[in-house]
Amino acid sequence: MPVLPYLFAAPALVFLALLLGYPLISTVVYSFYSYDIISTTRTFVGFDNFLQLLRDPVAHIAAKNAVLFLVISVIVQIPIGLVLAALLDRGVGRTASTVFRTIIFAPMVLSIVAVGLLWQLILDPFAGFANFLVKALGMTPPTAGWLGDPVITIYVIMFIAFWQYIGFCTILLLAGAQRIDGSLYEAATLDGASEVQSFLFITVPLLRNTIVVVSLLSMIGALRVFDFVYVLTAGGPGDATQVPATMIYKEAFFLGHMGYANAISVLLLFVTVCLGFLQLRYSRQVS
Amino acid sequence: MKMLDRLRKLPPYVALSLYSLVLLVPLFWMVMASVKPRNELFGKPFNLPSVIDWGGYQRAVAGGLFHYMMNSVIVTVSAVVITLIVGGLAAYALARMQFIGRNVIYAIIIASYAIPMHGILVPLYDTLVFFKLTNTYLGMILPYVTFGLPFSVMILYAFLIDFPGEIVEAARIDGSSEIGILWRIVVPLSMPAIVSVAIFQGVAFWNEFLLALITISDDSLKTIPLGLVAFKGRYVTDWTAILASITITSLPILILFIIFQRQFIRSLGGYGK
Repeated sequence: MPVLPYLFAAPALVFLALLLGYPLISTVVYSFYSYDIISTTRTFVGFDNFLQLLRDPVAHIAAKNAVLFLVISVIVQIPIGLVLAALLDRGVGRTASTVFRTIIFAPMVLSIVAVGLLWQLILDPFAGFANFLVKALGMTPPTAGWLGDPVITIYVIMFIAFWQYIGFCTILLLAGAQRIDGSLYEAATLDGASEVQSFLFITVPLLRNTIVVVSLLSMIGALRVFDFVYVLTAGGPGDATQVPATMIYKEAFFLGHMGYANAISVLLLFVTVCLGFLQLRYSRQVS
Repeated sequence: MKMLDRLRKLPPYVALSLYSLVLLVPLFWMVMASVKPRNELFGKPFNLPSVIDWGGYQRAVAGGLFHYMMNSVIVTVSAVVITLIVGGLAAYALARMQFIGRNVIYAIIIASYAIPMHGILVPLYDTLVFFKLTNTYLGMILPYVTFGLPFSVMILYAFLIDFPGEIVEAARIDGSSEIGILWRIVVPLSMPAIVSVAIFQGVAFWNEFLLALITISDDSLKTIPLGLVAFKGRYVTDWTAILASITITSLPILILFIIFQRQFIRSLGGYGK
């Protein structure tokens, strides 16, 4: 019996067991308990935390925002990403393609905190240029400010998230588009198809699996949103822009409701893990 | 005719240029506004500064910005190196060795990929408290390694499974030890995958915020994202200092990205080769 492979795999397994496996099991177990950050005793409360989730108006807002974020991420980022990928693949020369690709990808290497702070300043009514542009277009900026309006602020946060991350969808779709056999496009052109028709009837259908994977990745990303909301609004105004991750953070580290925070985590884990497995399955089909 | 052909090729360039403007204008504005004298920041946002005023940069540096950057370097480099060693060893065993339990171990590592950090935040925090790791570099490094492992192992595994076995066999017949083979043959030939993992995890660790936020309260240990938030709290409306600190901290990674854009795009797109 060889020992070496076990020795090689052991460090990774120790890391995963201590800092991922154990906390994962604890999250599930302690979602049935009530305790705060300093308490030494934990009280078993059955399904109380989960029942409270059903009644908590903030949880409803967070759930609604999560669903909005998830759905809008896909319907905005995928079409824009597809068009950008097609343009980069077939619309422009090689050098231009590299330059544009670099620009489109650049925001992704910045930290979300930096991007969030930058946009906070851009959207500031006095120092920034957002209101200046909006007024130049003859429209009126929101009176409560872009980040202080209970209705539109969540969409402003989405816009900033897409601004930073559409490049990610684009690159993945571009990699898929580059695998499409060029002779298909040539044949279509000979048959009199326009570029738009080639895009709609060759690129999009042949990228179907890649589109599914990228959609799932966007959904998982949408459910993980924390930094944008924390930096831009901290969940406000009121609780209007709370998302699951900021709610977990607030309940656990501000209000000391550790058990309740675990219950939110369990629900979120369930959804994320399902999407994650789907993504792994489809990724295998793509490659 | 030629003219018409040129015109037909124009729309893609126009569309991509317009989209690029949406991305570039905020970044240029950031750099420009960061060197504006304070009284010029208001009113005409797109006017060039009348003089270059480095005051914001001086205040940002005086506020300890380089200290935050140093912390980020320490945490990121350590976490990337440990991830590569631990993940590389595991990936090598899984891809190149036969042993009982191999598939189970692989499945465990892949499954962990689906677990987001905020999904286990409270017990993860408890665990770090238990090991007395809060307010230490290790309190960030060790969780980063853990959450970086699944993806790193997947990429390295995919690379190593296609690795030419003859080279390894030849070295084995020559009497090289497994460690010797790994270090002198496998590692040099796996550089594309290693670089890919290093970039992907490096960017993620450099920018990580949530875990750092709950683990670190000591200002002398804060990484850049935490430092920027602390600045925002301290300088409140000193926009130029805040813009200057965002600019300084973003520049190194943007420059690296522009120099190594091919590797970055391959890596962040999730490709090992």
